[in-house]
Amino acid sequence: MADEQGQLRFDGDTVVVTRAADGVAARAAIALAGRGAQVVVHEDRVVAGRPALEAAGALAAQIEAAGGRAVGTDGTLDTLAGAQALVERALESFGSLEALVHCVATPAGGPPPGSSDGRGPAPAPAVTAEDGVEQLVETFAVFAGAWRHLRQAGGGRLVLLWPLASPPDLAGVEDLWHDAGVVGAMGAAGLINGLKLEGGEHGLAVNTVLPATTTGGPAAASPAAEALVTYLAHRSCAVTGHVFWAAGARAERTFVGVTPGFFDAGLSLEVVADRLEETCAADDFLAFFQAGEEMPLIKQHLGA
Amino acid sequence: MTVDLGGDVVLVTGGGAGLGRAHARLLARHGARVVVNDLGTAPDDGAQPDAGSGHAGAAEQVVDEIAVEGGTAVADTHSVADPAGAAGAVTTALEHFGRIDAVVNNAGIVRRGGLHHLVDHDWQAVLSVHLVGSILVTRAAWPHFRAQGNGRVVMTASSIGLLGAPSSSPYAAAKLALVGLTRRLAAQGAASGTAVNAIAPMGVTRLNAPVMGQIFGSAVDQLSAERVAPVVAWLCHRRCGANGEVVSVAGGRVARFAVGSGPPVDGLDTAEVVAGAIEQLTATAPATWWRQPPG
Repeated sequence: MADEQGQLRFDGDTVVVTRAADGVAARAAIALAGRGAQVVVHEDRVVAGRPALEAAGALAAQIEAAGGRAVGTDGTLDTLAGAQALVERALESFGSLEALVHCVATPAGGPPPGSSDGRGPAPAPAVTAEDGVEQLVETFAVFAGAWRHLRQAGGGRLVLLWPLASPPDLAGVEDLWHDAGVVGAMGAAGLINGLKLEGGEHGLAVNTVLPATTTGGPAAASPAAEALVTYLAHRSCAVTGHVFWAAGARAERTFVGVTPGFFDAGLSLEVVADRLEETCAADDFLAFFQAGEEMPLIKQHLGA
Repeated sequence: MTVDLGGDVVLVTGGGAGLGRAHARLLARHGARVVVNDLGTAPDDGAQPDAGSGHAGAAEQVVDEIAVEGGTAVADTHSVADPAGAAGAVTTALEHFGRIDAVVNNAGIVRRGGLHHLVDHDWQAVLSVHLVGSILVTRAAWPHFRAQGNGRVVMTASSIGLLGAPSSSPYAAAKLALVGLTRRLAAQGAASGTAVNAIAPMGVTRLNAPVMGQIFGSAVDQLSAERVAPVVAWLCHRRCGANGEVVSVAGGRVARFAVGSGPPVDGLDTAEVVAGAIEQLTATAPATWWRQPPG
């Protein structure tokens, strides 16, 4: 796992990285290969004028030229069958699969209707909340495909890379991609909230990194994002179910809290009208690992 | 003090049973004119209706219950999972009552099972009813809210998405995505008098009754839909000042959910540094919690 210098090594482990021909996923793939991982470089977009398979192959060749091991592959990811084909590709190429890093594509398109100033070229199709749903559907397919294999194989690591222009809790940030990004990334956090409780006993850890992007652009180089991906993909990763926002060399965890609130056995519209404002002003939050932990807060009031 | 909705028109999706029915009836009792939307059948084969009724005529039945109590309501049976159906539900409000003042997005379905058992259709179905349905209905009502300078939207989230629970990952994803949508729309609506909030309710339904009985024992009867609906009714009221809030409500206990950020950690330039800092990085205190968007 860690060598004598304390370096986290991936020797003999196979890691799939999706949309890895450029950007934050490419940097992660290079970093993983540099630590001894066998990397499946996946791409499904035209990157810098190159068809997907050629772009993926170019990065794989670059990794091999530097003494690493990698193969390039393409294919769509929005169905379980597509994800399973990607897993098969890893098994055919290297004989095993230990981790998968899925990078969500920044949606192509323009601002939502009404937000243009009317100048410049004709607007591209609007990026809407539904684009976030599509990304979420794809994430389900990719994770389900890898999950089936890793669960059977006795464990593994899943890492989701979701480039986002601002932390997900910042409402009011004006950004073209934010409707899709927030709906999709928050949805993915919900998926991970479920999987953390399904995977533990099977040796599966699943975490998300949200690398900061420039507005609507690709994820900026972030040492923290790349370091987090490497750690979270490693066998020694000791955490699951987390979401990290990363910008530059800085990161912070994003999580949900709930306040103790108030109780009224005769809850009525009038009671709520009277008390909701003070309740929403409170910030005495408790952070829990799962929904079941909120139950005692309710039970104590009900005399259960 | 009696609170009255003064004839405001509220569309409740999935209003034929369970929580939706309780929302519709309480709103009508407090003077709202209600559109009870319910597909009347299970949304597709194998899907378990979570908030919808699962039987034909459910919307009409709730409308009749409201009429018996002297309230005003109309039934609507559009599916909210496609744009035409969602627009149709809003049109029902406009045709019968001439306006729309609030939308309660309550319709949803559940597919249970570990991710290793689920297939494409499972997550697609759940996301399309819960999430896309809420997006479409809200979008259809939004121009009316903007034009009249007031509007209220209530999303139905869940602690299953906010905190996590096993064997319901599509449901969890849809529910937390709705929190993201709530926050975005709250920011966008604030300037034109539209407020968007979410509830994370817990009530006993015929689906979760065995599990809830184990947890709550004899107190399970107190986890009624009637002890959830008052929060929804107030979030539909013009005087309610909440915007971008996620309100936990179950059995008469009302609290606030929020997303927070843990302590930021700098200097994370290698995986080894991350490994050494992971406890600090995953600490939940000191945390900063989100606020209401600027109005």
